[in-house]
Amino acid sequence: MGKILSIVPELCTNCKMCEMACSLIKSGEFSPMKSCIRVIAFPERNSFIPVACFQCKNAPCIKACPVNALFKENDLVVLNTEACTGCGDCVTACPYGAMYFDSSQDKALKCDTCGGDPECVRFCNFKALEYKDAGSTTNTKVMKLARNVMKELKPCIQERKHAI
Amino acid sequence: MTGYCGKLLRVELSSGKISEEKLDEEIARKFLGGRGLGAKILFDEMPPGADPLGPENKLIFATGPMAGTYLPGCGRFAVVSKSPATGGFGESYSGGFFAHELKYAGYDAVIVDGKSPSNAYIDIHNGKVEIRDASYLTGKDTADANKLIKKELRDREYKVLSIGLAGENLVRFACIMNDGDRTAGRTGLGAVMGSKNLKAIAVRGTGGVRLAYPERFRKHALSNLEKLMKNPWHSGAAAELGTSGCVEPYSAMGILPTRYWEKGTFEGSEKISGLAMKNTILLGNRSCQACPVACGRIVEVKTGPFGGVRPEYGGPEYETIAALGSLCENDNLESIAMANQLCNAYGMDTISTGSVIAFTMECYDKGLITERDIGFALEWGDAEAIVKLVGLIARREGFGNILADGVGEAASNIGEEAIRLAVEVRGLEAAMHEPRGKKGLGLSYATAPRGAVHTEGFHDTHFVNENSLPQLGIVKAMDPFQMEGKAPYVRIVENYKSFVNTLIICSFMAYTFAQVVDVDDVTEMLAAATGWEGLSLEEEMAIGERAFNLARVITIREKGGIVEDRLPLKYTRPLQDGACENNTISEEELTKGLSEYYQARGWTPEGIPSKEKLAELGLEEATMILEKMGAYNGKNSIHSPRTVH
Repeated sequence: MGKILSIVPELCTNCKMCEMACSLIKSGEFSPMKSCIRVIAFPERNSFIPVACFQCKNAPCIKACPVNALFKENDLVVLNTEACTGCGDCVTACPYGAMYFDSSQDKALKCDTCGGDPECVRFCNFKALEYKDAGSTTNTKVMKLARNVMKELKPCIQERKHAI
Repeated sequence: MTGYCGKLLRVELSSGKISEEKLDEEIARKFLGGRGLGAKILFDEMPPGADPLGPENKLIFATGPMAGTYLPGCGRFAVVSKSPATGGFGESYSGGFFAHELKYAGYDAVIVDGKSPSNAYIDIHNGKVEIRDASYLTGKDTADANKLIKKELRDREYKVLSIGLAGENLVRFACIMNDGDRTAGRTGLGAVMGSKNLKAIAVRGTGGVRLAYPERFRKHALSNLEKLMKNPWHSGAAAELGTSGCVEPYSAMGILPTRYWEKGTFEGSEKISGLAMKNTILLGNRSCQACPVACGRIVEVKTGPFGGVRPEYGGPEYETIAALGSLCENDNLESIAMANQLCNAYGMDTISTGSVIAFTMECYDKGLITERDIGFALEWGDAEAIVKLVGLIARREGFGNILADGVGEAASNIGEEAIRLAVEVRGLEAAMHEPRGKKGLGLSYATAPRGAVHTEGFHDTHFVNENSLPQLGIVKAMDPFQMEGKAPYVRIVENYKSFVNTLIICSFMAYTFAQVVDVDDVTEMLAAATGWEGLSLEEEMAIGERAFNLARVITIREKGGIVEDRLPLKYTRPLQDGACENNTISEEELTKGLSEYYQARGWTPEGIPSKEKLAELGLEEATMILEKMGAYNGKNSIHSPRTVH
């Protein structure tokens, strides 16, 4: 069975090490817009929610993709970047806001667990991010949280494709 | 350039002119960023003698090459200007997320001058910069202003610095708030913003920061993290209690400023300690960007006389708890949390605010002022009165108006006896650390370019054992109660801390708590980011010393060539209780200590940075100015403890 990211938002302190670690290893520079994990911060509620692909069993993004650039493999939702046409339908389809978009490449952007050695987990000092068996993970709570937050921030999702 | 963006942003508020300019790499290598870059720009560009609350004063927001990366603790920037509180070099630092965002927007620093014809804020969105109308934000609390700005600009990811009513009312110790719970607190820079009709600066950056050698950087970041996590404070106590965990230990050591510096222990310390906070009002903790420690407090008080304390304004840390707590003999933690929130909402430095209130309590206690003067009684420990006074000061109402210009002015207003009680150096109220129990710190208090701050670096309690700081060559065990012989070590620590304040890193990562000083990984990361060859600890210390000296020269220049290194008269009087009972710093001791310090620093016997030292540091232009002012004629220093004129 594959492993996926397990996210516990109660332990997140909003340090954003994960965003920087991911963008550096993936793109060679520090840039949250190139990160596959982003922290949504609500300081007034004392709530910080790291969001990265939850590798859904019945992924809405896979259904939404018109060119089959997204598919399931070993418990992960895989993005074939070459095949991606940059239409952004997957970004809209993800109810958790976990599908990102790299405007500089005009391609979708998502977490791939770094091929089995997730960099964000390495840099999280608070155990808010762990790498666990797909079956044993406790992402249900954070997914519900992310879903509600996305509904609240819905206008931003469509804009995110054109963030830059 | 890598690490750096290589660009400075200039905003002239009088004309509305916005321009960019290249950051010269030579300047970058010499002055790095933060304090160094800020001091260089202030020295070069502000006309000597400018009114700190006038249009000619410069307000410089300076990051450094590390902001934007994940060097632990690099989420930080400096604000540099001429201080309305001291009339000299003003500086303050703040964490949060602003520094990273400014780098991602493409700028290393923002230089603001002039005065906007009406209340305005600066909107920086990547390379698009505009000055926008802030008249609808006038008088608003800082967090409310931030929310409204993010709503107007339709992007919740903006990072916003703003002032509140205190800054708008030119309260001498008004601060700049950083997204609700972080602050550039000291030296009255909020008043500088207020004097420029600048309500806020909002930045949004979607770019990135590049490194010369990413692999090398990553390797040393991981090594640095590992070292930090071996330290007990960083790996546990910091998250659990933050600096509020210092309250009880300091009281036990007799160095918790209590009853306006009369005492060093506080009977009520248990009630306002970090543990008390954890067991009552603490909701959680939070980090600044790139921080693996998360010392920030989040508190909530829903009901009771001090109900209404919300998470967005954060919770009180050590300095705040001491200034609004033990210094006032106030053992009511909820009132401290409310006073902290009010200070953050109005934008006022909690250290100075607590200090002027405690000073007033002593004046009242001694009958120098009465209930009629203040408008109400002000006994020691009156929590409600403290909270009430915070509001009066911010709004400059009633007696609050007398206090709003700082303890020195308030004392002059009240009379001779009050002047003898005031605890400040050059107009800056002393931070919450007791120099009679930490005499090396006393040297820092007397000589720091911006006045009595505790963050120049030397805390004697760290050096009681041998081998305390081998990375900087300090291996000797030292007695905190002795000033003699300390000067060379104070200089070393101050130089490294000054480097840390130019780089910038949070001092808790670099040097402050329990001695975590990782010289090697930090140097490696700086080199890996910038690509600079031959970078060494010696060069870093020189960069720190250069910034320190330039800041001092600015203070001396703005004070007409006079050196005012002194300590308050109170420190010549004995502490009345605790482990440091009867300790004093006599005038003789201070004079001797300063003489040693000037020698260690390579300054003249009057404390002027010498021509040789300035030449060594490549600051010849500073020498010219000092010479022209006649600063080298041997007549210009005041260093006795404050006496009545």
